[in-house]
Amino acid sequence: MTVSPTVVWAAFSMALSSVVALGANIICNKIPGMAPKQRAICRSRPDAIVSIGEGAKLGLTECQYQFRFMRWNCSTLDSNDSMFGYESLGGTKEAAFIYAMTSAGVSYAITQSCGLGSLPNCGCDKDKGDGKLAPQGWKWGGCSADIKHGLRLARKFMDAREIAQNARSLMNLHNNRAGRKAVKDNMGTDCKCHGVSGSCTMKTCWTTLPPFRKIGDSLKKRYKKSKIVVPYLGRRARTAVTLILKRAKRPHRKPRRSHLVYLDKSPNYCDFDGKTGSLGTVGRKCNRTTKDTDGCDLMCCGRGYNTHQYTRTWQCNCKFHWCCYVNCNKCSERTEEYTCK
Amino acid sequence: MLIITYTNIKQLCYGTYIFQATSDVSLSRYCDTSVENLLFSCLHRQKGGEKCCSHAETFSCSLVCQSYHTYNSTNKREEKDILFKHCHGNNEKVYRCVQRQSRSTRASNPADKIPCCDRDTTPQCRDRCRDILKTSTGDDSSIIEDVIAACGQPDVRLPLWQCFLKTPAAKRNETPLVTGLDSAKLQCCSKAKTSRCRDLCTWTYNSDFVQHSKEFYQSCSYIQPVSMLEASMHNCLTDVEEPCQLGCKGLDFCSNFNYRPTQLFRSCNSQADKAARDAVKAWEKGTISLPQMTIPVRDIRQCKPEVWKAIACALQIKPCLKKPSPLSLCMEDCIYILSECVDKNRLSGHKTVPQLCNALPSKQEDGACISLSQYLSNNDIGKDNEVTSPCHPNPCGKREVCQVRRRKCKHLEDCKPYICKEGCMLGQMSTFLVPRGVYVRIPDKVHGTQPNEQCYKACHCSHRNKIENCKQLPCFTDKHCVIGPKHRKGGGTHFTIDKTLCACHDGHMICSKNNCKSPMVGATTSIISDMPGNCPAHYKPVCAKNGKTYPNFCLAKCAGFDENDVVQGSCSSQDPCSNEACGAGQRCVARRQVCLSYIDNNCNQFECVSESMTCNPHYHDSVCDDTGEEFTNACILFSHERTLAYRGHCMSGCSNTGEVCGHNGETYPSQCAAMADRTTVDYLGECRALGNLTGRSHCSNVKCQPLKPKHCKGLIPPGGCCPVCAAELHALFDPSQVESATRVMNEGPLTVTTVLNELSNQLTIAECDIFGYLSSEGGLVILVSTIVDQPTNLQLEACNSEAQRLEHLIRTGSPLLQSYLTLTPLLVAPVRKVTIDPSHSINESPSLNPSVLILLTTFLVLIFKQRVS
Repeated sequence: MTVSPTVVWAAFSMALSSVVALGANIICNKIPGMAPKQRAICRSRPDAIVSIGEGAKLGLTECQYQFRFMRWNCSTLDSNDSMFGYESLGGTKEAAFIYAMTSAGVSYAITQSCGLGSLPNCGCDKDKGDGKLAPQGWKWGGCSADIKHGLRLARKFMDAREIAQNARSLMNLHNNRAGRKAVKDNMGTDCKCHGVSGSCTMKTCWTTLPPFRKIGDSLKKRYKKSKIVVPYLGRRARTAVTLILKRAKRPHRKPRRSHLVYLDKSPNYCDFDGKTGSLGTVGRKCNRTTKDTDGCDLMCCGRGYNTHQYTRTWQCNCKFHWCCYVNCNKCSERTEEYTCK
Repeated sequence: MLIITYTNIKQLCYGTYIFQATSDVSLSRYCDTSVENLLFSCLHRQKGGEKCCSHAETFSCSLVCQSYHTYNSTNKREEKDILFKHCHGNNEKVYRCVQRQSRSTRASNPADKIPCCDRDTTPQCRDRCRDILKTSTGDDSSIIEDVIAACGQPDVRLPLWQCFLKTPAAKRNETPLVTGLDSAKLQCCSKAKTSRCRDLCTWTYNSDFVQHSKEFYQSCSYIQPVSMLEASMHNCLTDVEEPCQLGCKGLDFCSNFNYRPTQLFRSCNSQADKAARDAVKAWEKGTISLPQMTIPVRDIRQCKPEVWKAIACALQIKPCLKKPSPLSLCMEDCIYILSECVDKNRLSGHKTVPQLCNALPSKQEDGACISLSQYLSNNDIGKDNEVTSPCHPNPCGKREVCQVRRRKCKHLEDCKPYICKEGCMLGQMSTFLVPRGVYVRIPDKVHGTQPNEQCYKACHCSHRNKIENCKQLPCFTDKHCVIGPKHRKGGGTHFTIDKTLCACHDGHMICSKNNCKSPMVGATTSIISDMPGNCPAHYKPVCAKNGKTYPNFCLAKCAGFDENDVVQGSCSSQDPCSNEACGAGQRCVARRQVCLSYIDNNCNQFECVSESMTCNPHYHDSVCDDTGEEFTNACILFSHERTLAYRGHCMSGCSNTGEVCGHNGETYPSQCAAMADRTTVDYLGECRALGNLTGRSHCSNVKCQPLKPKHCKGLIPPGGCCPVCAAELHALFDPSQVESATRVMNEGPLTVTTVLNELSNQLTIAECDIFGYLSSEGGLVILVSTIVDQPTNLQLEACNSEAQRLEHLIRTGSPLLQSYLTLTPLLVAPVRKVTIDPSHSINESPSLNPSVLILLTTFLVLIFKQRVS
């Protein structure tokens, strides 16, 4: 029995599509909580989605660091929605911060991957290379972080889920942008001087990404000064078209691009409340001696705290002996730990 | 019902793919999904072929396209090149379509993803995942479903899923990862002395410039604090960043540096000029701040302003030094200027002027520092355009390589003295370009198993201007060479033993002379000759299988050939076409070449030219006919019914008749033929003498032609009889690297001409060119000669400087040369410069300026005073 190639072709043409790459398509379809546009990006650029995921993680970790002493410690109710959207939080300041932080993290991670050469289609900033002269007279060189590409892709991906034309979606879009702007505004420039004369008039410079902590710090400041806004409704369609400041000296003032904005007042995060996304502070560690937000009085909302006593042991006074072993003593200490009731 | 057997698949796909598969994939895999995948990809390929080839507008393109899709050759790149040649222009669509096809038909194997499973934190998921990928026979969708069942919903923040989504680096063909950020500079990292700097350097120029560059510049730079430890790495980086270039002009502030066409500078440009002006302005405030020191001075507007200006300019324009050091000024100059101008009241720590200056190198050392005296006055010898470097400043576009045009143009109108060629960048951060079509050598990130092992890969700069098709080269280490008991030399060094230059590379000694000490055939033991290997000093030429004529069999044997490898008579007297090697319908044409390696006996001395009228216009192998018209290749020449005069580009300014003997000991039908083969003419007529070996001449029956120009003293290159007015580099090369380069390029053996052509591209001056040959003793003789009819002293001097520059680049193993795969075997090349008889020279040396004299005398007095005190 002979088989003509065309018959075989017809039989297997269905299977062919999956030969191309194992799983990227399928995995992208299975990831929960992604908007259709986001899935399309995932399918077409599976490498970028890895960076985006890392960026989201980076943003969340930094958020947890920044809020480690606060009642809200950057945790969310629904562990499933913590992919990129944090709808369960409501339109609060905290939601504003976590959106900005995630957006900044994603921009940051994409830019970083570009510089490392682990993403196709991007690398060093092409506008700042090849000996192009800066207005100040020095040359661009080295590998400048391709921030433009990072911001563009982060915007495309992060903003893709905010399709509902309501106030909350406008708030998220604004905060996403504020997060990206924080990355852009914190970019640094490094230079290398040429020649041996001390004047350093001849130098090669490149833009660099700051440590992510710097972006976290600057967004934390923005969080403290965040603005309450109200939606401005379009006349005919009665849908939210823009956000305007609620408390402004003059009417119809738009918030600045760098500001974080929120719609609703935050709960006190003392007790569990599914509606506002508050987890409560039961079981949180606190500091007995301070009057700060991490002090037991504030953290536990006056409910009091439990004291646990335990002995901590560790290796100490280690000495290196030639060659090659290390001798250590064991030290121990009795300590106390406090958790909210 | 479908029954597919392996035979069917083989028939369908012409087998090659499947046989190949057995080596890569274990047999168990071979029997299930991988075979299916291969079948899919094969079918896909053929289907794609039908689709793509239908776009073809010309017959040749359609033919090539179909054959591309039917036969699955192992050399895809070559095939694609041919396809490109036949299917560009109107047929661009076909080429693009094929490109798309070849990108998307990659068959993936679920087993490749097994390492991903280990990324997960839970053991159950890890084990299940591995089992699923190992055993699953279903399609991808069901595999993924199973993994989800075992490990939970996909989350791009989890390493397991990130790994699944990532494209493996090896499968990407268009990423910056092929080269690293800057592969030219990356080559310098192996020169680092400390492992910390080596690592920092590798990270900086390979992948993570952003994170490591700062630390690298701070801890491994040798400017501050002054440290000579990393000098060789630093110099290598400087050579890539600011290569030495001949000549300087167009400066405004540092005008004393203008018109110096024979000197080498690193940074002769307007920015450096401005920087020098700024530096002087800053110094006028009363403090000289150099990275090494801060020195208070009196008003430098009053105290020797011209010397200060020269200092500022020298530090910015950077004349090249023979022995580069971080401190480029001379101690003597420093003492002189500071004893005049230093502000002693503000000098901290009771330092004296000699103490401030003693870290600087002395003028006594040749070429260790920039002597300022020459830059205190104007130079105007180079005002006439005797020496031109058309590529400096660079007239070409951003991604183009400029090459000097040294032969006449085909079309006289719009004939520029340079050629701009599209090229490939060695990494996206790199400023170093190589022209399209060359093979490059770039460091391989996969480090060898041993520390200190250097691994490289050879890649091709494709017609898409991308570095592609990399192949691994054998790694080497900096092993020591054992010379004698308790006597060893480090790897990568060179030294002389018994007046013979030797280099140590990868544990092997490579010397400029063959030390075949055993008595040789034909050597009479009673007479001790000074010939290598005690060979007789008679001229009875033999032609060895590498295509080179040796003066006698003994010398050939000394070079490593035995009776079977040589034939009597010179190579030019042999007819390579005598044994009818070409098939029917093909004409055999002599194509003599001297090969640097002769593995597999493939140093063919002929080519087969199709006798049909269809020639490949894209095959470049220039030939010149007897009327002086150049053709792209021999086939085209014969199709025009012309007679082949010689191979290579048509030469002008030479005689087309009369046999000559080249310095390589080969007889050429004419002077032009010799020059086209990059050989200098030794004497007129047939070759008939042994030449100058081991310093003694055996040329009694030869009459030399007068040299051009007359006052050039000339030098006799090894094995020649008559002097030549050229600078000579006697290069040692590493045969093992020649072999590996030959294997990788797969374009026939590496010949002397290939190496010389590549070196010629490295010359910046239009008036100089490279000639050369393989010497009987094994080294590669490279001659840098002027190609103008009556060269002036300045032009000779400029060629000397070019030779000097090449010597430096070869000796230091600079990435500027080592990036070219064909030049990697060159290890070290001591230079002999041509001398000009001073009695004939026109008074061109700058007379000592009175101010310089005063400077010198004061300086001497100062030194004297110090000695006394």
